[in-house]
Amino acid sequence: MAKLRPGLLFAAAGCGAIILIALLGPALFAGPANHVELDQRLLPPSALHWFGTDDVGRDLFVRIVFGARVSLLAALSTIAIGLTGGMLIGGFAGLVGGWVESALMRMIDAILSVPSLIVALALAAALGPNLRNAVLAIGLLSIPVYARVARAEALAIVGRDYVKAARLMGASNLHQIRANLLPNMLPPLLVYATGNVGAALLATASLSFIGLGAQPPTSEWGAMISASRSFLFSHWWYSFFPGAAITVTVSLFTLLGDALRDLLDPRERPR
Amino acid sequence: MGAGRADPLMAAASFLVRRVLATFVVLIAVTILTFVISHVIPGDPAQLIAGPRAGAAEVAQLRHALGLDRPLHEQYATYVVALLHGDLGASIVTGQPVLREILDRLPATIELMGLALLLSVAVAVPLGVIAAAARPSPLDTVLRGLSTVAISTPRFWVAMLLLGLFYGALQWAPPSGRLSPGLTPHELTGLLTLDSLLRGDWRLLRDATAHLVLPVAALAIGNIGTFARIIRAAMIEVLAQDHIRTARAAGISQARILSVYALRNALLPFVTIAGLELAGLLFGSVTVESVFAWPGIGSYLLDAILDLNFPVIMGVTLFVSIGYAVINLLIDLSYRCIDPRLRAPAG
Repeated sequence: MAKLRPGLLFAAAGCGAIILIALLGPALFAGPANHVELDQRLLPPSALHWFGTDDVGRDLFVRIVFGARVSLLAALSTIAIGLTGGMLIGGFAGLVGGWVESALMRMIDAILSVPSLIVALALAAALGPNLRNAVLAIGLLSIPVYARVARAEALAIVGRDYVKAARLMGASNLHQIRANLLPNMLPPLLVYATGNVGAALLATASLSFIGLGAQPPTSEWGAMISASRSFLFSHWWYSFFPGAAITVTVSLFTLLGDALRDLLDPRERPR
Repeated sequence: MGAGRADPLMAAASFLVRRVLATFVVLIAVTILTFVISHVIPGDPAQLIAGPRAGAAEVAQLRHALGLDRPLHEQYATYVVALLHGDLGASIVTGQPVLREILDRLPATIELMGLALLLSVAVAVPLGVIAAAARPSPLDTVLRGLSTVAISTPRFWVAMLLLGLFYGALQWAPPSGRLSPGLTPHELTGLLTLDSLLRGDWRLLRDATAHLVLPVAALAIGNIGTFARIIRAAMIEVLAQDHIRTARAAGISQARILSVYALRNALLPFVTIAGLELAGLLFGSVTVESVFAWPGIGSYLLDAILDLNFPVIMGVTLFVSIGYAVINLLIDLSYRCIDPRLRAPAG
């Protein structure tokens, strides 16, 4: 840690800024996200409207600022679902071992061999098109990924002496999970999850673009791009800025994930 | 190495059996997933299959006809038996069998995804090798940054930007679809570029290629980023190994070390990961095909989602999942043939 890591610093500052925008932006920048002004329709970027306006005269900059909260919250929610489910299943498998573990892991492996986003698409369609269902579908189908990592962590923890000692002294599985497994599994899993924020955001934005996620007039970035499709050839800024917001945000979170992993794993191994 | 002649064969056979069994388990998992999604989750699957405009009596009749009033395990058995007969149900919109409609649209998607895959590998391999060889340097940092942005960009957005710029503003590219109006494809493989090449129809080849450029680029960009990162990481690992140092000490040129000694080893892990990346490519093709009105499986799925055409949604999901599992099985098996070390494991 003697050396300052510019990459980590840059990524952390960038992600911090976006989180701040998501938290405070709507309060700081004037005007509600759905403020319609029909005489201000489809204006190009200007000093007044930095990113221009959309087809009903809403300011795109304001909508993108509001969208930061929606998009980021959706992405983080998918991760919360995947992480929680994965920790429970993976942690349990690692703790009990034996045939229960092999059966669980076989199942996990089988689901991992399925193109999860396509299945998430079908699941979201079956649940009904709204952002909550899209988040649920993506989150549920990401559980196996986290379960694998969680099991590996759990196995390492279960092998430690104090855990063995606790087991010898008759600690129940439930107690072991609460006292020993969860607190020790969480930090490495959180680092792993940070690396997935970008992918989660891309997935939720894609589902919204398709029409399965956020519905208009919600100012979610993917849904905004979807709404801009009919204006692609005439009003470039309408599709450009929401997509740029996604790209910048996902890039920063990907960088942060990479930098955190490099920090914990000194062997250089991006991927 | 020192092992007997039968051992590698036995090892290969047991690997084959285990891998095929694992794929079988995956296929069962896929059918259970699609069954649960289509039969258990919706409040009333019959209503979904009948479509939003169907009346109550019609729905009740359909529920009985489809056996949706029977116990779930019986329904699952019926579902699997139908699948084994290649019956994925019928489209609500056209009334045609879903499997036939999928197969009709398959060549368009294979052509698009295949070329996108080729393009990504052709661009990403040199980039990854250069980045690994140049490390640490500003060049490596720049390439790393570019690949990060590439994997972070939504494919559907790239597709729209490309279409808006090269068709809308510059008029350099044709609008959308696979061919200009008035041209008829040759019925061979369904891959328009290949067919026109085989028939020597240069006008058709030029037109089909022009239509492919933008969607292929939009689809490939994310994979270029991912692949370049994988190749770079694998190359760094290989370049640190002893046999590379020995080759260097023997005075072999850097170019030869990179392109022959190191790259061959780095490509092996890449092949497996590239197979898994097909999932991302598949998902990307759903949105990219929709932006370019590309008549493939992706836009078929998307139209089905918008129409709530459930038999099609579930049929495509199942078809794509099975295809994905089988392709990854084939990759794993061929992997053993590509890598001589796996063919004859040390005894």
